[in-house]
Amino acid sequence: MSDLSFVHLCRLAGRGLKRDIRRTLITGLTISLGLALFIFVDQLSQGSYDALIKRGVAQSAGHLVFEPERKQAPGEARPLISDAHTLATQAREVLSQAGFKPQEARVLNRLWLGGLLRSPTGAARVGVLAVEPEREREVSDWHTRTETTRWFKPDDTRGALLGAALAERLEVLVGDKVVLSYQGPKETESRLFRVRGLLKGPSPSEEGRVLLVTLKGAQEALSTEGGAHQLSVHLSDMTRLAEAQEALQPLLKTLPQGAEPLSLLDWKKALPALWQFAQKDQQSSRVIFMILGLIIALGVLNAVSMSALERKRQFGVLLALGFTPRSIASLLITEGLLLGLGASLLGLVIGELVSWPVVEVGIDISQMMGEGMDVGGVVMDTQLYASWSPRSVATATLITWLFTTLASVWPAYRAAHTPPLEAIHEPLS
Amino acid sequence: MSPSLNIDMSPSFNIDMSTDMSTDMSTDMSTDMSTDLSTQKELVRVEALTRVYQQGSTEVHALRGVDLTIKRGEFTALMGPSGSGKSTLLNLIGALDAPSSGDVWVDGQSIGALSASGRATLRREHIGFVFQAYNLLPILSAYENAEMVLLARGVPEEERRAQVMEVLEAVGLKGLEHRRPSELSGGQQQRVAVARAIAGSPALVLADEPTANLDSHTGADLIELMRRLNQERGVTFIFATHDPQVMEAARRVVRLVDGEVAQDHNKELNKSSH
Repeated sequence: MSDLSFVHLCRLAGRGLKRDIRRTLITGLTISLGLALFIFVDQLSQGSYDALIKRGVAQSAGHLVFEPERKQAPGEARPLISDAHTLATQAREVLSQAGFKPQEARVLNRLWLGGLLRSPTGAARVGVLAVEPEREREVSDWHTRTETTRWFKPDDTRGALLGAALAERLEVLVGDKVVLSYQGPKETESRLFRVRGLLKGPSPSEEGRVLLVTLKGAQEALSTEGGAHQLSVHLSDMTRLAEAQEALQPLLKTLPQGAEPLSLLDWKKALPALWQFAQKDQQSSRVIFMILGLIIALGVLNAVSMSALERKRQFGVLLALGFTPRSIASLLITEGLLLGLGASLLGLVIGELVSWPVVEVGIDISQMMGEGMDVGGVVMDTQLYASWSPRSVATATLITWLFTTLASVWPAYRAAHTPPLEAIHEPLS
Repeated sequence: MSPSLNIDMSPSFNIDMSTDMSTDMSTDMSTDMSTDLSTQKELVRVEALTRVYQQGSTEVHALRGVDLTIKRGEFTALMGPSGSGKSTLLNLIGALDAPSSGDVWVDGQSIGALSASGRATLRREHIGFVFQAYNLLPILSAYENAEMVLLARGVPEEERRAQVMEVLEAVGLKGLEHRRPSELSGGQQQRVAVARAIAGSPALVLADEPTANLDSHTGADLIELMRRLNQERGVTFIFATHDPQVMEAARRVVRLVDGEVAQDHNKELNKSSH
C-alpha cells in the first residue's frame, strides 16, 4: 500500500491533473468522445441487430418453428404440417402449462405459395404468404403497412393484399379482381382474389412481389383443412427460448400415426443465413470497437507518459522527501483513475445524449440505401433505430475507466523507479 | 505517537519542544543547545566512502575513501571547489545515491544495507533536504509543501496542522501559507523549503548550496534562520556550499579536494581548547 491515504492520494492526484489543465482536458475529452462514439455506434449496431432479428424472426420463422422434416423435392409441392391447427392448440396448452402467458408466447400458422398473379392488363410472379389475420398482426408489422384500406377480416378467404409496386405494375386498384395461378396438390390451379388493400415498403423489391392472403383462403386453394407449412412460436422474451423449446419438444412424439414427421428448430437453425449474417456483423463491429479502443488507449498512454515525464523532477523531490516508489506509482495511477472516472462518466453522458434521438426517432438512411435493404435475406426498414443497451454501455464505460487506469501503470512504474538523484536533476517543468 | 519521538536524541538534545518557537527571531543566542559537542553522540558516520561514476569509457572518482563523523547538533559546511565531491557526499549521506564502496551510517542505520524503500523510509523519518533550486512542488501551497513529509508519515491532520503552522511561523512565513511557490520570492521559497525540511523534526538536514540562488542579504537571513533552528531545536545541519557566509556561520568546516577530505576544522572545539 501507499504511504498516503486514498484521500490524500486523490487530493494530490487532483492537483497533478489541474497542473496542466489543458492537457488534462484534451486527454479527458479524447477519452470521453471515444467512449461516446463507441456507445453511440454500439447502440445503433445493437438496434439494427435487434431490428434484423426481430423482423427476420417475425416475418420468417418465429423464435421456434415446427416444420416438416422432409424438404421440398423438385417438381413437388412443399410438404405440409397436416393438422397444424391441432398442433397449434396443443402448443399453446403446453406453453401455458410451462408458465408462458398468451402474450408471452404467440403461436401461429403460416403457409407459402409461389405463383403467377394476373390482372386484366398483365401478369407477374408473386410470393404468397398466407396468414392468420388476428394472430399475425400480433407478431409482424404487415398490418401497419397497409395503404388506403384495412387489415383482413377473420373469415376473409378471397381477400388479398398486394405490394403497392405490384399493384401498379398490374394496374389494379383496391376492389379489383386478380387471379392467382399456383401449383396445387396435383396440378396447376387458379383462384380468384379481390384486392383488399396495398402494402407499402419496406423495399421496392418486396413491394413488387408480395401477395398476402388469409390462411383459410390458402388452405381452400390447396384443398387442405388445417394444413400449414410452418407453425411458429413468437416469444416476447428471447431469453426464455430454451425453456419454451424444452416445453414444446415432447409434442414431436405425440404426432398422429402416419403424420408428416416434424422438426422443432430455433430461429438460428431455421434462419441460418440470418444468423450467420448477424454473427459476422457483430464480429466486424467488435473488431472496429477494438481498434477504436486501442487508438484511445494509445492516446491516453501517450498523454499520461508525457505528463509523468514532465514531472520527473517533482517525483524525484517526493522520493527525496521519503515517499516510497510505491507512493509515487500510486499517485500516478490515482491520476489515471480519476481522469478515467471523469472522462468515462462524461463519455457515458455524451454517448447516451447522442443516442437518445436515434433511439426515439431513428435515422433515415433511405438516401444512402434507397428504399430498403436486404440484409441476410431480411428486408430491413430504412429508418434505423438505436437500442438502449445498458449492459453493453456499462461494460464499455468500465472498460474505458480500466483502460485509462491501466494506461497509467507503465508511466507510474517508470516514474517510481527513477533514481531520486537523477530525477531531481531533471530540468524544471 | 509522533515518528519524531523515535529518534534517539542525546540527553543534551532532549529539549522541551513545548517551548514556544515563535519568539522573536532576534532572541538571545545564549539559549545555545550545543555547548559541548565533544560529548554528543554521533549521528552520521562515513567510512572509506568512494563513489565512482562512469562517463562513457572514463571512470570519474567523485569520492576517494572519505571518512567522516558528524555529531548531533553540528552545523557543518562541506566546502571545496566544483567537482570536489561535496554534493556527492551530501547525496550519499542523504541516501539519495548508493556508494561504490564504503558505507554511510545515519542514526545507526547502514545505508548500503537498505533497499530503495528502506532508504525512502530513512529519508522520511530522519533526514530533511534543502535544495539549491528550492524544488518546491508548484501545484501546492507553502503549507501543503511543508506538510508533505508529515503526510507521508501518516501524521493525523490536527497534529500535522499544528506542526506545519509552527514551522512556517518559525521560518517567518506566517500569513503566506496559502501562497503557491510562484507567488513567493526566492528567499521565501527557500524558507518554505527549510520549513518542509524541518517540519518532521528530522535529526539531520542536508542543504545543497541553499543560498546559491539568493542575493547576499536574503542568503544571510536564511543562514541566520538555519543557525537559529540548529541552536534552538538541535537540528543537525550539513551544507555543501561555496558561500563564504555559510562557512562563516558554520561551526565546523570540512574541506574536500578531489574527492578527499583535505581539512576538517571544528571552530567550537578549537574555541573550547583555547
